[in-house]
Amino acid sequence: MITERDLILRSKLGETQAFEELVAEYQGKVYTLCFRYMANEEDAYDMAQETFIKAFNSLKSFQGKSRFGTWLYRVASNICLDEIRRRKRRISTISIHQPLETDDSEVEKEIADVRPTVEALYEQKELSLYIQTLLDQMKPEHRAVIILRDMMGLSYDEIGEVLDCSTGTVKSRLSRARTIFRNNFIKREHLP
Amino acid sequence: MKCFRIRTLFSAFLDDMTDMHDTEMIKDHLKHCICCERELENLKMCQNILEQMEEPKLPEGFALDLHRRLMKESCKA
Repeated sequence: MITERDLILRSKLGETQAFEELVAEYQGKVYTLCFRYMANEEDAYDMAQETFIKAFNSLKSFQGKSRFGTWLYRVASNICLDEIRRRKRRISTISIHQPLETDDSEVEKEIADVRPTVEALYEQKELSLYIQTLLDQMKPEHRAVIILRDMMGLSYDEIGEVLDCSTGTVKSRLSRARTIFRNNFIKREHLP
Repeated sequence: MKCFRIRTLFSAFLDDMTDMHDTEMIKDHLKHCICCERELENLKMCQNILEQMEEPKLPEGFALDLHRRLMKESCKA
């Protein structure tokens, strides 16, 4: 029986077929992760493709210290977060209406009201869009921990490996991110 | 114990990442603080909504596209 380890070794030697076998079971998850970061199918597709190409080219740097899936998530997260930051920098130079995440320590700017109707919120599609919009307004590092923990189900240790930070940092960042998300969500829902 | 301090522990509490001391402290506090209880419920609700988000479907042709790109990459090498 061919193991993941065998496939990794053969992929490191440049065998594309072995690499395709290796990543076959991760394609859906990596695409989902990219979709959570990028919030649209087209970008998610491009970022996920980019993830696998980069993984293939840099597989030699994978030393097996973490699970292969975690390492792939790290590659995907880096690609998506770099792209998000690059776009934010570009937008901030041309617009003063850029939505900012609401945070006590920061200046709160007027955020365009993208709230769908209350009835529509009960439609799963509308809710998904709404959640994606809220995530989109958060700082990339806050968005990342919420996506990795609450939407992808990674452990604190795995998130630390993906984002290259300590478990303590994951813990505090997640706490802050969830509070910000909750505040924005509740504020718009007028819940207690 | 002030509500503020307790609330900073809620996120870890929801993930069973608080130590025994903090867990007991939170449980004790929740027995007599309805505001914090409501805050925890709200956080839990947000967490549930995020967890239950439908996964997008991998678009058709993704694997084939990747195959073509990998072929190109291996030719470059």
